[in-house]
Amino acid sequence: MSRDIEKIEALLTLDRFPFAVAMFPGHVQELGDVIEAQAFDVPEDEILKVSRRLNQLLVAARTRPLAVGSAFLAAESTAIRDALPRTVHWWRPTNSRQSMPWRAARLGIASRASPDERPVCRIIVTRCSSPSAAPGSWDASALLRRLAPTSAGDDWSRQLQQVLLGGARRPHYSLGA
Amino acid sequence: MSKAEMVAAWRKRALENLEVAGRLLAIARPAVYAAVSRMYYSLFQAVCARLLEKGLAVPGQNHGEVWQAADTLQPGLFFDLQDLHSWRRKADYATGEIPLAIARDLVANYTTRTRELTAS
Repeated sequence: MSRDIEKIEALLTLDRFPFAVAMFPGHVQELGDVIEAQAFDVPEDEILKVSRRLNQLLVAARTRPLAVGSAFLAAESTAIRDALPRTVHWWRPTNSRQSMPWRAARLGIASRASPDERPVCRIIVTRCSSPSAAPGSWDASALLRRLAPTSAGDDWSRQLQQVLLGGARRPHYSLGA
Repeated sequence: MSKAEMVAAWRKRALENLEVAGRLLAIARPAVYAAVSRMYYSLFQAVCARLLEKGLAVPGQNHGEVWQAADTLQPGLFFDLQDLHSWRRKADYATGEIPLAIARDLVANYTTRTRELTAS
């Protein structure tokens, strides 16, 4: 495994990227030699975000040659996966918790910050364990960056509450910040 | 051709492709792949225009070198070009599908970026 692929794998793991990624050497006419990184079985309503996130991680990896990412819909994934070269290297998410931030986004309770902005908090969503909670409830906790001044932290905590209450449109979300 | 003429030439192509990308999605039977392809080239050409305008060279035919030069103009432009290019590859080289809703989002999102770059 090349050092570049190791770097990409480390970033995917650190980011808890929620989809399997195939990596292999490729060639693109207007780019020359590249490292292809392809994510599979991505739902249509997430594919723009997943593609952007994958390419952000690849840019951060600063590989030589350039790594280029693509995300594929579930409906087209089988055919594309079958055509991958034998030299393909797979990275796979290791546990179900990795998909939680994405699930949170799908539920409409993720941070309102755009992917281009520096994240100031991470939202962790888990199954609610309280016996009094309604079935299927979720807990959302925000871990604010230590760098954020206290005043900004308070502001973000308030904003997060508003997002959770306004975005979820369901009664069974709770917040810990 | 003078520097000003070169800038104008790149900008004209960027705006022409931008307009076409929007129209291709607005017609009765939207041309999804052509629209995404035009959108990429519109942003790419807008970057070339801005590089020249700033007195920077437009690297040869390798798009990756243009992306890297673009990031010296505005941090994040490299990423924008790379992401949009991944969709253009699906459009031009039949490497994947692009649903209409995705094409609309891409054109809408990158239109703003392109307009910023082509603004005098």
